[in-house]
Amino acid sequence: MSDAGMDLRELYQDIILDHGRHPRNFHALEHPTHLARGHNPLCGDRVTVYLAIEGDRIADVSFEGRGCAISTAAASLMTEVLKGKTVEEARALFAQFHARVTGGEAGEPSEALQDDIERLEPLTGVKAFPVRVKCATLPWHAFEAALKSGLAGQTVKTE
Amino acid sequence: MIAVKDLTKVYGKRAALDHVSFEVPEREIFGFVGPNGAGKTTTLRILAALLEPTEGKAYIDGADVTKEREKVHTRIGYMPDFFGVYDQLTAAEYLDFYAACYRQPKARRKKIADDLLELVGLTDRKDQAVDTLSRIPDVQVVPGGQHRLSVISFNVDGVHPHDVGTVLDQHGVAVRVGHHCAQPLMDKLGVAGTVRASLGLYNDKADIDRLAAAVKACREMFVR
Repeated sequence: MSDAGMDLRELYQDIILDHGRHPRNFHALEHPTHLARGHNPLCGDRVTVYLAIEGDRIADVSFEGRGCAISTAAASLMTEVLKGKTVEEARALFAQFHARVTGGEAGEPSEALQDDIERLEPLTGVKAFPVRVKCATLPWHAFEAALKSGLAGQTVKTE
Repeated sequence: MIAVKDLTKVYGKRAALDHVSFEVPEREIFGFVGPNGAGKTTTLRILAALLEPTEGKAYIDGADVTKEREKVHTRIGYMPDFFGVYDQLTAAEYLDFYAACYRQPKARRKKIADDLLELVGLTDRKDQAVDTLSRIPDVQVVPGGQHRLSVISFNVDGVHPHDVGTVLDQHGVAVRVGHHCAQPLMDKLGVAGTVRASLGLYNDKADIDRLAAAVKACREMFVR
């Protein structure tokens, strides 16, 4: 395989291609407690994240929208790892994920998050493609905005 | 040869040219340089018999640019940057139009155009690229794009233009992807965006083959 092929397979691992083609939890929630839209006006990606929070736990999470394979897979994987988490765990997970795709520092993750961090590992291939990092983080920014805005449906923009 | 004697051109109160004189002998390649506003364009337009001087004389092969304009026009070639470029015309239409301006009979015009395109290596370039891309399954070349010489817009079914762009980039092919600052239009058309490949005089068939190979690789990766 050529060098181009190798680098691309790092970015577009099978799990990314699979979630990009067949996103999980890809629908609106009927009774969300929180929702927010993420929009990247530069690339045109749009995602709406729905949360149903019971107590301090994310009972259900889903998304709708349109974007590239990376952003769709990132949103799909995000909904999988967030389901059942407490809000605090979810925020910690975002911090860890954000650091891993941007090459930043988030400190040592707690033992409980290890499996989920591993689950999100395939997305860290974007680190080598700076223009694609925003694709991977857009749904997470929308998730964070949803936590803040409840049902007001804030729109968070990244560029 | 070119002869310029005491050429002066006044716009309003400002003299763009003030008694300019020079000669360019036959077969000489002459560089005419100077800062913005020095009067280069004014001189060239007078020499091309497109503009009347206020004072002075200019001759192309002995033909006076103010008195024998048609003779001057048949003697010169003038390639400005963008002045007079009709971007709605194909390369063939463009050459045909200008050949007609030079009173070339219709029967001869096609041969002139073909020879010139061959000379600069543009023969069928555009058609070739569109044909090559259209033949790849799942690739949709945006209709209408064929009428522009230098840009081809296309999409690969089921693959977001940004993913196409990343794959092409990794194969050493630079394209522009996305909504091209026309998001409302893309929304209306129901597409996320398009991939735009640009071709210039510096591209050859090998570049088109590379583009096609990269698009095929992209399709194999995402569509299969």
